[in-house]
Amino acid sequence: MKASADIQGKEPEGLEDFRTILDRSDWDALVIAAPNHWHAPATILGCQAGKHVYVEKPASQNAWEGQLAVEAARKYDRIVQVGMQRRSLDAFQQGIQMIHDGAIGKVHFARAWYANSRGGIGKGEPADIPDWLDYELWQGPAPEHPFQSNLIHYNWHWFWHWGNGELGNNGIHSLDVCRWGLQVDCPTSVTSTGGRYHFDDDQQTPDTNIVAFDFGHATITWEGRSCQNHPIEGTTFGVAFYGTEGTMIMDSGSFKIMDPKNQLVSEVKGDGSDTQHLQNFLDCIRSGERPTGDIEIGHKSTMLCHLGNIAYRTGHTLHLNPDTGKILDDPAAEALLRKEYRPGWTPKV
Amino acid sequence: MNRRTFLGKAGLIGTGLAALQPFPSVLGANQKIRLAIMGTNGRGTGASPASKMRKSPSSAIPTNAPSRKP
Repeated sequence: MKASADIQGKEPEGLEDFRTILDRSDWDALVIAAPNHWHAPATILGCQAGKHVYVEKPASQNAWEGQLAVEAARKYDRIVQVGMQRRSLDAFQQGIQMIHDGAIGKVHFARAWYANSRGGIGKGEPADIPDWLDYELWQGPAPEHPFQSNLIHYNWHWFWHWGNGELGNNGIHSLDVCRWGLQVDCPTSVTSTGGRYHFDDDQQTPDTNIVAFDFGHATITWEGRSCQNHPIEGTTFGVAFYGTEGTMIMDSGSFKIMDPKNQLVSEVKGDGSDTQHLQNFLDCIRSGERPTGDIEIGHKSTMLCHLGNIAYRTGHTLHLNPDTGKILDDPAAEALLRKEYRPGWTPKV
Repeated sequence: MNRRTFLGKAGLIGTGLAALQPFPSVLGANQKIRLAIMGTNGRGTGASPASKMRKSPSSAIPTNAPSRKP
């Protein structure tokens, strides 16, 4: 609140419940930076109320509601930008275009990674809800769950009830870049391995995770190390494209190209700011054009996270029809494509 | 409690109309864009640079809990 007031010279209006703006015509757009279980439901509510939406990544907490968010954007003709900021960065647009133009030949493998040094989250205990928190509203569409001491504000990421693990938290960014560079949508198979190895605590999602996506002519892998931050290629966040005529390495905002002898031939530096992506959102509200991180693009990239997490949770290799996106012959995996909602909160378009 | 129930309890009307009304597809080039930011504990502050961009949108920060560091 104060930061916004300092920038724009007047105090923003603070509200306890975002739904109070939905029927107010004096608001044009909704920025959704709530926990993951709110992303798609709030996107849908926003579109239905005529608001343009900027939703932080991932675009959804499960596949079913993600598809509904796409349908809502189209039905109500709203601009919906997903917070995959690299889609709007000059350096990334330039680098990906170079890949598409053949700068490193044919690319059959893209590698994404993320490394951090997160600690444990401990064992949560039933606790009184803090007086500053509307836990009922915080839960929103998520099924009722007793409040516990190690959940808010950040650790919900590591519970399947509210979050999507590191894959949905940071993997989404680099997987989106991989998918963009390779120009692929849906894989034919997905495998995942890893675990919660570093700490004996409540975290349900893996701290060490390798996911492989096979697209028939190309493979994407994602390596996540939440509790061991040794960098790859000098960066803890990155994407590498391995081509027949060279290699491209991208970090948060820059890229470089090596020739087949691994000699540096090109380097473009940039920063990883959110500004261009937000500006693109605002520009598209004015122009009516699709944003760089349009909800359909965001949903496809988010689907890689969902599929990777489903493969991890079931312990199955998933096989898919890439034309329909359907998981083949695996009811246990299919069941995780959606979740139950709190009564009265099931999203509808 | 869904949105309709919530708004009903809040004493607001016209909720059903919102889905039926045609919304303007685009805003004028000089029209101010008003953003509402939904987030807790500083989530969404990444959007604050928007308010210093050339289009100068105003912003609100509806939160379902006061911003506070854990």
